[in-house]
Amino acid sequence: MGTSTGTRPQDSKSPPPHRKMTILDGLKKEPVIRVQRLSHYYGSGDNKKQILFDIDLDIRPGELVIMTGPSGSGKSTLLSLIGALRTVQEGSLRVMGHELNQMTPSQLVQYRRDIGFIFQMHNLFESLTAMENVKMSLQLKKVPRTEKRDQAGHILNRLGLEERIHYKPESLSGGQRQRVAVARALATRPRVILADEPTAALDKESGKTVVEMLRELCETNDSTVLLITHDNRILDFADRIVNMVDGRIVSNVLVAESVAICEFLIKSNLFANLAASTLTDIAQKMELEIVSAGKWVIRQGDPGDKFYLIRKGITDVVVRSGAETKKVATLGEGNFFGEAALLTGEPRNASVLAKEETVLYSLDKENFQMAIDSSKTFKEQLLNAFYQRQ
Amino acid sequence: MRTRLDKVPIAWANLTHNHKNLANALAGITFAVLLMFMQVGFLNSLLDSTVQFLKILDGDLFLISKQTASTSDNEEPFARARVFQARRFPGVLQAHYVHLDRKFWKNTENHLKKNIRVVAIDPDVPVFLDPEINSQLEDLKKDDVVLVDRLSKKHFGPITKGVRTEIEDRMFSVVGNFTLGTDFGHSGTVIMSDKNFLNLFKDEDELNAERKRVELGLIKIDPAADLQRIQEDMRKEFAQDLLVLTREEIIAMERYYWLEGTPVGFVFGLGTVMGFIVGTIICYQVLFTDILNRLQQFATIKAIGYSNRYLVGTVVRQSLILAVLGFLPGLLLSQVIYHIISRLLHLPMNLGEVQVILVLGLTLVMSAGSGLIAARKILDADPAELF
Repeated sequence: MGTSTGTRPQDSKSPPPHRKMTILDGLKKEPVIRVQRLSHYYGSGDNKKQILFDIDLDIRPGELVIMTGPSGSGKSTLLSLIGALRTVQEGSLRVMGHELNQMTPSQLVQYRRDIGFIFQMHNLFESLTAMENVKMSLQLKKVPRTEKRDQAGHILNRLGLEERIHYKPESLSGGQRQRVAVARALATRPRVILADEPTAALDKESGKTVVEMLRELCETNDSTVLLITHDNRILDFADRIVNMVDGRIVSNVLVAESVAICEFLIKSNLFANLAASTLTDIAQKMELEIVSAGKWVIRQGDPGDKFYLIRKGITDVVVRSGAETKKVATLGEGNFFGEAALLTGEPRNASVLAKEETVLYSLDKENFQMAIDSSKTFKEQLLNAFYQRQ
Repeated sequence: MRTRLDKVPIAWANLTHNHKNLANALAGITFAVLLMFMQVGFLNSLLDSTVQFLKILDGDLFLISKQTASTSDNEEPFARARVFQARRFPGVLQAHYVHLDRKFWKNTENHLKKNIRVVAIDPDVPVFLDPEINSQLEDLKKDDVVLVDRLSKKHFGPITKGVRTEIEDRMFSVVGNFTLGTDFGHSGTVIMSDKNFLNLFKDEDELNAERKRVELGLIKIDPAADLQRIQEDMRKEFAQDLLVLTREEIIAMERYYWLEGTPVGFVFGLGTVMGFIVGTIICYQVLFTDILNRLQQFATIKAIGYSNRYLVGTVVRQSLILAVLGFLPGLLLSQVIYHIISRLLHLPMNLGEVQVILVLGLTLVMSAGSGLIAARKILDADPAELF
């Protein structure tokens, strides 16, 4: 049995410190968007072309997900399917409890009222003022008149448009128009927000304000944001980054958690010398597991099948020798265990008991082995760490 | 409480956003409204003008030949004796006859002869409702004198009191004027005594025949008597050769003749339809272009949860606003043009409530219809294309 300790990540790359609801809280909830084996085609007959291939994706309440990928990779199609702007052809798409391919057209219209859309082209009504454009979305929610005006005014103020609320789009700059479009989408505090390049037309400050508002809705309203962007400035705000290529999800990374895992790993003696890319690879392959208080995580004598990192919670390491059972260590946040059986091929040499609800990240044997093989240094360090503990 | 006033006035905003486009649209609608008013006005004028002569006659029942389809276009004679017979029906106060004919009037300035309607009556009995005519009946008793409609067309030359000219090569003096107006069958009218009228016939046989026939019989009924019963009795008595009509019936028959029995009604009806079509096309073009320019915007609000019904409703509201805004100047302009035509042509161009309601109705239908056709384009607005 081997253990190591790490420390809590706190550097500048950490998620913004003002979060009220952590991604760990969200991960315990049912997905607000569940995509299963979703495929989509354009055209028909000989011209039929597959755009999405067996997409699986779970997004939970409060997550801010950034989708990246080259043009034509299918991310806009996926967004439009989630927004019920296209019809689901194959597979399942469940959003906010609705199975979209089982809804009638009028139900889909109602469904879209619970979604905030931000389009790359702002598409504001040229004949309406900024205030009226925002009211157009509030109008669908049957908000009382005074409240409607207050809400529209408030959000426009937040976006720095207090001097422009009675201006029509033709009298606004590109950035101001985009901010009005953002205000229109967010005014109703929707549960799901779908955004296509919302910051592309904005300067650094405005872009930051918009993303902060999206972030705030995730944290205070449990809203889920799915955002397509090529703007690297806002990647730090993402909980998850989904990368698509040729209609397939090639990576789906819980960024904040990935960073947290890397921080734990790198601050330990064992992983300190690994390259960032290797750490990230390991982090991406780790699975989240939640163990209730009083439950065994591993048992002595069982074959070794996983390597564990404690994300949150406290566990006891217990060794049984004959009739005697002895607690040999207590492990907490940032500690890891389970590598010995994987390295030696022998059964577990100790049991681990969750003293409270414990959140763990596990790496299966195969991925653990691949990680070792990919880095000679990693293997040597692990072996050294292991043998030092013997 | 939430009312429609709380809503964003998107239809009005779309219409008024571009003032130049709005002005063009309103000009188009106004033109179509004007076109329809002109057609409806001319048609109505035609119908009004043909009955205005009947309206100045004082009779509760009218006798005309069964062969007569119109008293202003193909008046056929019947036996004068029938009028005398009518006098014997209980409840009849008076029964008088009227000769209707067309004769040549000589223009004293250019000596050209033009057809003019001749109305010949017994000047001893007032058969007109017009006090101006009745006050001059005494003058009509003189030999070779006439009263001339002062609204007769100018090609008759001077027609004022004192003018002497030839009617059917016989010299007549104008002893006075009255006001009637022209119609589509007559450019002018003179009233003379039956005695002077018969003097126009030089051929003895023709004269004898004319003495015994008239074109119109006017019957006055005792107000206490049962008009309907007397009419029924007369119909039975004169069933072989006469129609016995009330004032309303003869006016309706005259209007029907021009509306349905001649191509004139059809032509003006067609003109109205053309105005309607022109207006529809203009309105459609305006709305369609507007939708096309805003297709992305419509797609966007469709994406955020507005239904096709709401969007189509918005376009129809736009079209109805256009209709009302275009109708008002069209109505005003029409009144001005009616007035000008009425003065120039002496036609009764009146803008009645019926015409106003008719054209307003047509304008609303035209605009709403074109709005609905144009709004089909909104169904093409695909929000999926926005991402």
